Amino acid sequence: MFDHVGEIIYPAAKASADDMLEAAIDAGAENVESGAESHEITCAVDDFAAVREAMVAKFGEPEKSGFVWKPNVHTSVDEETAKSVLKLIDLLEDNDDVQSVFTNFEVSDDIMERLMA
Amino acid sequence: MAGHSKFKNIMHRKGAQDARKAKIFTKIGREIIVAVKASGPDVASNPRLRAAIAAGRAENMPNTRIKSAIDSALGAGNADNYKHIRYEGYAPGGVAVIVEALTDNVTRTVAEVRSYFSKCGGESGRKQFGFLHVRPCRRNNLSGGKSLGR
Repeated sequence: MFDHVGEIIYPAAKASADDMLEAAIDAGAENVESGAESHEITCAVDDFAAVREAMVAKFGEPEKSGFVWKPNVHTSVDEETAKSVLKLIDLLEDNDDVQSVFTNFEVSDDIMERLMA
Repeated sequence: MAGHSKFKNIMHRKGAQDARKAKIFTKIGREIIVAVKASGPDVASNPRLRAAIAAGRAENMPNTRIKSAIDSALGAGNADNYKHIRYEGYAPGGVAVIVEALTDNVTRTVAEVRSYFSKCGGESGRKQFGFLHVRPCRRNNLSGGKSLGR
């Protein structure tokens, strides 16, 4: 349901999607998803240090990097459910002991916008 | 995936708001303490510490806070022993949730995490996800890869 992977994020302005993809593959990464705001590079946990080092040598310090649980199956939810899921995430994140929370829920953009308003 | 980036966008904005809470410094500080205890205070040879400090910088964590976290990890009088735990549960609607925590009191943290799940109508405390059979993640080696989701 989740993959444990290393994730390295660069702002989109850092390089073109093609350049980023090429560099990431050379560095040994598994995948790059380039969007309007950022490049998300994922790699196997064991390769993380090497990939990160190679990327830092080329593009400097990333915006964010670390180990994440990446969902490979998403669960779509309606607005009501999304509300309680977000409430749960907030409660969890407000706890000092909790470092990170990962979920696999997915909602449509307009619901998300309403909820975040 | 259509609209994926927009969702991210919103999550980023939310992240920026959260950063305003001082809590984020507590969390990063704790990560720094654990990193220093595991592999020492030398940034060059401690990638985990490097990542934690980078995360702190990204959140505009003051240098004094970063330094005091490192110092407190090295301090002789520091008896805090943080354990890394991973907790798994289901939020309403069958949404799978993974919670990673660093805690000096596992019993307290698990009780609290559980209460959030039940408050929100989710289920927790069961060992549900297949990925537990995968080798434990590296960070978990600190605490022997313990999972409390059972």
